[in-house]
Amino acid sequence: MPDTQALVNDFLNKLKKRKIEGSQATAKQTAELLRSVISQTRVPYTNQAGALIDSVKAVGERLIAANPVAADKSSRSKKLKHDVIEAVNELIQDISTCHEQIAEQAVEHIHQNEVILTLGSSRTVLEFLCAAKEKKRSFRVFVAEGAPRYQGHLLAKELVTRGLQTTLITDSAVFAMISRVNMVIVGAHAVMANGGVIAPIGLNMVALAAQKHAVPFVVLAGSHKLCPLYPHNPEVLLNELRSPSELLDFGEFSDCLDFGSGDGAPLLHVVNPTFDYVPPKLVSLFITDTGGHNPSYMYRLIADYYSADDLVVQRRSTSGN
Amino acid sequence: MDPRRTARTVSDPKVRQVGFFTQPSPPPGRSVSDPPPHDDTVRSLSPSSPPVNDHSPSGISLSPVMIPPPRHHSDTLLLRTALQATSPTTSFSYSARTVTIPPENEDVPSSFSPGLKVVSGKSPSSFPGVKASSVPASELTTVSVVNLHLVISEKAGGASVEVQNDQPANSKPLKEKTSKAERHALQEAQRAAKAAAKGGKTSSTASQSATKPSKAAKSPSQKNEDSQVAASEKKRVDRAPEKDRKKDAPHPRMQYDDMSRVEKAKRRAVVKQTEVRNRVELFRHLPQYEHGTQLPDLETKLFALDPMHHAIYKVGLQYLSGDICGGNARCIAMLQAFKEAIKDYSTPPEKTLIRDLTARISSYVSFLIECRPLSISMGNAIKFLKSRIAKLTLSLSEPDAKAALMLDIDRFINEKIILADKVIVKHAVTKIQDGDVLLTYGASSAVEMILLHAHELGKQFRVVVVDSRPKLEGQLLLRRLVRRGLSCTYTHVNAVSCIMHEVTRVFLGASSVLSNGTVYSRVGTACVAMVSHAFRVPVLVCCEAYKFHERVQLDSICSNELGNPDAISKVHGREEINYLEGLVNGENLQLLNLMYDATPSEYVSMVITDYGMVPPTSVPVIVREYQREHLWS
Repeated sequence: MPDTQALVNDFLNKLKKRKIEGSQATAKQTAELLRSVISQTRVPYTNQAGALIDSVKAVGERLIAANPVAADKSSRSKKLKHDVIEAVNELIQDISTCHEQIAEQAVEHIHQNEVILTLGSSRTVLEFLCAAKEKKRSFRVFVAEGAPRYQGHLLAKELVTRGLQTTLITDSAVFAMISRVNMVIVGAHAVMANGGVIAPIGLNMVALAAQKHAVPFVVLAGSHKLCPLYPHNPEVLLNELRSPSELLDFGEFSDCLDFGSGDGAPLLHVVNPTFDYVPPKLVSLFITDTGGHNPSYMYRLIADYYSADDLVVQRRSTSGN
Repeated sequence: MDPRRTARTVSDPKVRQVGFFTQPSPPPGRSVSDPPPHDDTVRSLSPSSPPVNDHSPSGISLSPVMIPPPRHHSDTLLLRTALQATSPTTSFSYSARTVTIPPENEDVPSSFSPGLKVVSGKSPSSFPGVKASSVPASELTTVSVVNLHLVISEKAGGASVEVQNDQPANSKPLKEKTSKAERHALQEAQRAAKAAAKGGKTSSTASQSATKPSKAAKSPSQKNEDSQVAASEKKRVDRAPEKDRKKDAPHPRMQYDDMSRVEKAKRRAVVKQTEVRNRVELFRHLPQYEHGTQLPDLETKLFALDPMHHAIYKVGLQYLSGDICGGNARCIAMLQAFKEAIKDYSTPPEKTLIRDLTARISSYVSFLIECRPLSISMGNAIKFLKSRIAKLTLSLSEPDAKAALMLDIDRFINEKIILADKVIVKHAVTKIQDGDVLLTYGASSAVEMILLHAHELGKQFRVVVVDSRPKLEGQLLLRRLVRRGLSCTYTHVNAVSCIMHEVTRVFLGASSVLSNGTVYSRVGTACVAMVSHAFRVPVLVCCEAYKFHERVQLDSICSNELGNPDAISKVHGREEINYLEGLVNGENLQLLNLMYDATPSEYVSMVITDYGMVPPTSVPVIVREYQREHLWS
């Protein structure tokens, strides 16, 4: 299948170079890629399903090898080719419309004169807040800027152009301001099977502050973000470290980088993680396209999207088998 | 009674040994009856032995966990006797008290007899209207001595009225609080003081005996007779001790949503401030000014500002531009500038040094406030300076008075800041062990000293420096630490929950610790303390005791400082992040740049001060027992 290999390689390159941003785009493109893989698989007359599953699995493994954190994009396997393609189409459709379905629920949760806090930027949150605004609810939003990517600036810009009262604060001021906030609404990168959330960095701090002040912490997540894995050491295993240049200017600190201790180990380490893990006990509510759920319920939704055999995509060793 | 307890007449019941302590080697000259160091044993402190006359309280060989007895315990003793004098069951005798108390305030420039010196030095300046604490002594000493003392304490009362008012623009509403009778008495006293300054020492007693009736005029129904005065004073003894103990609530600070006061302040202002267009509603009570417009304006006014001393002007500009930053640095710079101003000061004719200098200092302070709101450390230092000015005796010549003030300022800087830091470092390095991973936030001078000292001692540990926008102060600390060879990890405040699982201790600095145990410090400290608490990592706050304050605060909104909002919209070093260009002046967008936040006391395990390592709940104890008597006496 040379064409599909090219497609898969292309996609993998894009993932590695982080050209695809956002979970939704990644999921969509993964699904589309799988759809094209499936349509081009030459299916033997016997064991059609098995062949399909194998090809999808192969692609899935390569995807996981390229981007381990995107674990939720992997196994989506169903029955026969046409059905499969239809199902994949449905999946793509779901991914595209999850925002509207989540945003429809906004009016139930946001009322007049509320103060909402969010961190960073998430398209789901943006649509959610705008939907409430359209229903003539007037409320204020505090946006924490979300260093070091400063996506909060983007979200603030969007909200301001749509007419919402926005105040931009630094991440360090979250604890100071949260006593005046009615609700915290954030997006997620992935939702784990235990109800924990892999979220942009800084959200664990926000969740702890919200718990201390008894402010509801609401996570908006499309169902494509659901992941069947349980997090064991999420800060380390499910995290990515980005370049230190986002925190320190290499030019300014070039003199410090030369220093080393006696055994040659560098004295200066810079840690710039991308994701944060929020445990389920800090989350008050998940709002998905199927409605609102408790964190302890999220594992049931896995069954809708994942088949029991495919909960973990095994890495095939190169020596065979 | 416990036979091991020594006689009550010489014991200070407020001093108790509780908790861990090592065998204290008895300091020289202590009373013979040194009780064995048991828990809850009342220590006897003979008033005849100078408790610890060296400069730092660490000279007392106590364990750091215990709050050492107040240095001028004789002062509290006198208060105690005043309290207990009314109860007939005790067997105190005033004569014993006043005779045996040694002169503690050697540096009070006065030429009075030792007995009187003690009495005068004792009355804390923050008791405005109540002089009866000194009344028991008056029964023994001569009338003239009594009057002299009363005059002084009234002046102290007067000064304290000003002292409590940190906002010079609000002197009027504050004065209304003191009763009319008190102000009348104050004016009489000051008139007498002026007459005394002119007439010399011998006539001073004569004129002051004339002020004695004015003092009695305080209680309106009293007649101006000696017997009556004595009777009224006796009566006041009953009421006064309770009033002594109960202090006035600290006056609320100026709130900027009170339009009349804001207008008044603007009229007096030296620096022209334009208000920010998009004010955050929640912070209407704080000043929000446009940054960047004040500096050029001030520069043009440089030569027009005659009454402003050039050193003060320079310091104000340094605050405005952000060159000097940090509680200790700002306080020291301000005090040095005051020293220079005092050196160049000369009393104008027809004015007294004390009143004029105090007014001058107040005008300097209002200028500094316009440049940048005062930090709590600066506020305490100003209170100290004003109380020292007020305590100057009238008979001092001007050069002597100026020299004494400059000496006081040096002593304050040395004792309360430099030596206090040394003591804090000494206590804190005992909490660092080999293999520790220490986390710190921002750049605190005290924490930096601790880390460097521990490294010099050869301890093996790693440091995690957590930083945040917009000041990015952690980078400065990081640079200094790496240069000295410490192994450091640098991250930003959002990542603190990722890194907290490797951390063993957290050291934080503070701008102040308030009387409900809340730590008031750089914004973001509360987040770090909260996450540490969630991960069960001990949090140690290092703060010199002169920064403690008697006010209380529940959250970060009631009182804060708002910085330059442009610092938020622009990211230094990353020009591609300019999404908010053009929107900044729109009506929907507000930018909030908080400078401080309030960390609740339950997140703090321990506060390391120059008085020892105490829990945050002990801070009001230190404020009450020490700051009144030592800082402002």
